[in-house]
Amino acid sequence: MSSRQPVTDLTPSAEAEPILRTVNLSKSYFLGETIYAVNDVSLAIEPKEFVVIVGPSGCGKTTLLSLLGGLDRPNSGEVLLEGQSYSGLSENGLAQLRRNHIGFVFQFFNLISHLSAMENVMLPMRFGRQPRRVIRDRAGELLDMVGLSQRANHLPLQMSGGEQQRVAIARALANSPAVILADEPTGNLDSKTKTEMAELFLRLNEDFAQTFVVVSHDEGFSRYAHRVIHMQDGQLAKVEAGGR
Amino acid sequence: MRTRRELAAAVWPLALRSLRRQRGRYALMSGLLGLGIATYLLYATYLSGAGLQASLALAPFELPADVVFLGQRTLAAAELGEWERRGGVDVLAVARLTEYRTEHGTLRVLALPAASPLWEAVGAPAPEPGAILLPALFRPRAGPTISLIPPRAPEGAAPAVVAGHHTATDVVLSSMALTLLPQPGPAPNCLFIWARTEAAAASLAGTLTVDYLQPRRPLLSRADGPVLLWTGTAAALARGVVSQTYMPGAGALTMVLAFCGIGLFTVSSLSFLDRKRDLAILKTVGLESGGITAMLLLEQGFVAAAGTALAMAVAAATIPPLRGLLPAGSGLRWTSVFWGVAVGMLVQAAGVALPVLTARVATVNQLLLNLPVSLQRRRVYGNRE
Repeated sequence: MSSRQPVTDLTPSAEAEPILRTVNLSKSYFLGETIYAVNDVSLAIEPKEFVVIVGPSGCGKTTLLSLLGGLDRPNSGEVLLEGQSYSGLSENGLAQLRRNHIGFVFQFFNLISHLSAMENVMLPMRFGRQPRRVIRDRAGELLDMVGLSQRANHLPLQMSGGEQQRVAIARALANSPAVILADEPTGNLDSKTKTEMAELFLRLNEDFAQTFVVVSHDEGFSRYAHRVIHMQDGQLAKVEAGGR
Repeated sequence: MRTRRELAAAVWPLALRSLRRQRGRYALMSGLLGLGIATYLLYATYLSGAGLQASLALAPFELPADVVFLGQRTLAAAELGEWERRGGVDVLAVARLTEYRTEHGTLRVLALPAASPLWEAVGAPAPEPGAILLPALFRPRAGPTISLIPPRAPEGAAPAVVAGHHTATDVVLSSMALTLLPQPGPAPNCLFIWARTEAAAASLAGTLTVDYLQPRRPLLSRADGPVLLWTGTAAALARGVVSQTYMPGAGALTMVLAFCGIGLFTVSSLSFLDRKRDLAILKTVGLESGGITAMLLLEQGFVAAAGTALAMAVAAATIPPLRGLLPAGSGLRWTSVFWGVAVGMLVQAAGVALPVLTARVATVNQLLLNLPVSLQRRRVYGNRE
């Protein structure tokens, strides 16, 4: 376990409540000895904020993101989204939370290969109660927003990596989530596409006030972020202002 | 909370896509299920005939006959030997029972060998040629060659009686005699005829058919077969009947169903492994466990429908040509179809339950990172390990 003191990043805000907050969050695994992937992390994400989490491989960034998104369960501590704690939620409760309030973007896109771009974007909305026509119209708008309306009927395998990631972003926006969590969204893309992707994130944040929490090694994201959080050995090591 | 209908409406397009995408695997599953159901239907068809013979064999010692022929030999030696070997119970007597079903009830004709331990068992002296034994309660009404007994023979523990004898030369069982079997229906209503030879017994049987059964009692069906008169326990007889009738096919059916169940489990497990990532994505974007289960059950519903249809087609194609090899009276009944489908569903459920349950309870990370999934506990967020 690191000898460094954890950085408690409870950024006070004079405005609204933090949209996403963790309190003494910890996640450990037992592999002969107890290994802390996330160790006593407290942080707060403000509405409309663009936060980037950086750190070396194995520092716990992805684990932290999984905990923030309810994809994994901590050993101790709490996560609150818009004031609602994840504690006590069943798997179904977490699924509903993810559907209505959180969008995900993964490094390897994670699109369903036998569904078209339009159908992938419609997927989160299908599980709600909206009429099909409304869902279809909304999906069309989102694909247009990310510049892929001409690829609506294409399968993921018929698209480039950058296009697939754009579809993933459109899917993440489908239910107008409170926050989008992105895990190495440009990790599988070439440098030109990485820049385009970072600019897309920036545009969505600036024009649509979308809150982002992005885990990335990519310096480009740090340039567009409001805040950059450095992690080391499962703890917050440093918090600094981003390029904005 | 969404209704089941809403869930089904949300996931059925995904189920259809999955069926199309993995159509080879689902066709294999349908084939396996169809094989299991078809095998059950064939076995049930065999059993319907074998069971009829078994039911004939279950006649308890009550002389369940309206007419009893006593003769030197009433069964072929080979048949006698076979039944004594297969009986597995304390056989009191081996005989032949013929049932004539008419509109007015059933006439049962029992043919006993002359030397039968039956008489000792009922405490009656063995009849001698020409002897006429009458029950104490009844009086003879006939002439010297035929004695007739009243319509109903004594019931309960009353001894059996031999009420007459017949020689080959007699014109026996005239219409008058046969009218004294007045009440169609179950025994006891016994008329014993002593026939010295098989030929005599055969002619009596012919007369019985002509004069008693037709034209006044149109014959609906006739069943004929060896019968055991037993004094053993019901359990012993049941074991004997089970070993004779049910066991020949039950072993094969069990193996086929086990093969089908293991095959279904293997294919559904492979399908689950291939779809782990897709299931993780669905859970990530907000599909609840109920939705996952609904989707998988819809897919299995298609498999069940296709497998059942296949089984019906196979049964319809194979049973008619095999009828000659099956026991007499065999046929496929609707109740057998119902039970065949039920057994098929049970085998299918056993085969796919584990992969479906695992898909239902696994978390996103467990699916994406191939972590072990425990079915034992429902974890609430924050469970400490």
